[in-house]
Amino acid sequence: MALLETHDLTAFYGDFQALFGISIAVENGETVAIIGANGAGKSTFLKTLAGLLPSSPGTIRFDGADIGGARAFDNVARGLVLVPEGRRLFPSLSVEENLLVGGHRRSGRWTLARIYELFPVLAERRHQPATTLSGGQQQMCAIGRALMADPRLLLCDEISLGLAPIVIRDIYAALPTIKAEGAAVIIVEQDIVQALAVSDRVYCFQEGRMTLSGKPGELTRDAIHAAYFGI
Amino acid sequence: MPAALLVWLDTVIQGILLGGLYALYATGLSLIFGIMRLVNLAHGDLIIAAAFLILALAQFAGVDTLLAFAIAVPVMFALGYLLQRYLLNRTLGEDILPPLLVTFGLSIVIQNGLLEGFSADTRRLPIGSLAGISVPLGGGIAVGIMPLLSLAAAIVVILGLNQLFYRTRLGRALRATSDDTGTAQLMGINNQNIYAIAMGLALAVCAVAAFFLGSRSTFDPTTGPARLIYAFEAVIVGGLGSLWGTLAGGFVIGVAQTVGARINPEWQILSGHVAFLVVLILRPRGFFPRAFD
Repeated sequence: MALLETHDLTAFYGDFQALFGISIAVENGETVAIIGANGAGKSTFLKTLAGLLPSSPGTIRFDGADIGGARAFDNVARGLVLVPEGRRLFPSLSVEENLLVGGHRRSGRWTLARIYELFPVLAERRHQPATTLSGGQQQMCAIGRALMADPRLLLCDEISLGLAPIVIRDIYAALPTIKAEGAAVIIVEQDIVQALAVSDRVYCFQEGRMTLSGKPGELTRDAIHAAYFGI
Repeated sequence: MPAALLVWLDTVIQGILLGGLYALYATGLSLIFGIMRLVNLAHGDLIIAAAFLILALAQFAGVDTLLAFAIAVPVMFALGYLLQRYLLNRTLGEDILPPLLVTFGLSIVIQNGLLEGFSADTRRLPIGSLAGISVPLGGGIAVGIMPLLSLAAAIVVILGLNQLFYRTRLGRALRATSDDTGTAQLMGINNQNIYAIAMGLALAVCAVAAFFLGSRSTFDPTTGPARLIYAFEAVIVGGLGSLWGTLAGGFVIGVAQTVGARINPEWQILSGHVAFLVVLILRPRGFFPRAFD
């Protein structure tokens, strides 16, 4: 049984429909990349999975349970954890407090010591306000914060956005360690090369619809191009 | 020390002690605004309701006033929790108008409920011999034990809340929710529950304020709105979001009132309001604003 399955998932912002009938599956331990242009619905998809946007009962199954319409804080308790777009660290909390608050509801294999091992720079800055970190360090803090909840499925929304290539490389270097703990990962990424390099399976979204799915090795450049741009 | 100077020194000391009481009024208001951006217009009436609760326990149930106070604190916490969880949480959202209207309505309901239950009579909490005790500070200046205790209580309450906010898991969750409710939910924090706990804490502080209000001065069902104004002024003068700032704000309003009263007894309330307006003109964000957004 797949860890996560969506069936005909839709999402709305008021009257505007942002997702149309998305059906995907993520297996235990799998890394899935969702690619697509701006406004394709990738982030909306992750927010809906996390419970930040409403969904209908029966449209999302996680670990065998129907979590359609479930609230975000209850999804965290199940191990479905989102690293939000733009990091969204808590400005009045220190780096360490940001990490600790990540384990508020659920914790397990990931401890402060292990996060600091994964991202040593955070240990040096543990007592600083989180917003004084550089963009890349903030992203590391946001990922560390999510790991503190011991995710079974980690949702990463645009984790490389606005970061320098060398910083992106450092962040993606943490992925094997995260996967080694058994977590499945969904990455939303605009950088197609990066997405193909790290994922076991790729889905391409265009204007709220899924236009392509497959294993990175099996997808041709033309197929991706067509699915991405719709031409 | 010349006698005239002593008089003014005494006036300022009394003002600071009064400020402690105002800080107690304001702490709950500041807490609620800081965490959920809710302006609770029923705050003053909830203080008075707590005072009547203590009075009812002391007079009608025959419990010692201090014990009644000790009972009122957890009872008010529970009341605050339920009030937020089942009523006020439903009003929170993008629009700030619904919570304003609902708490305004609540204020009217509480005042009229108290009028029905306790009549319009002016009351005072029976604290026996405590009321008469004063502590000489030398130079002919003496301060009442209750004003002194109310300042001590304000300091203890603020110290305690700061310990809670900065040293505990719950405190982290409260601060995270205050920063960014949506993201806090992504940490597994149930914001509805956090809000309810915050309101519980605020009303527990209201019970403390009520005890000192009722033992220092008289109260009746319509006393609440004026306490709300003092609380607002202390919060704004201190700077939004800082509890120590709120204490400082209480001092400013308290000292302004006693100094005004010393010049002319009719000026007491007015000079507090004038001091507030002056601070608003000179430092619109108060003395210790937490955020510069």
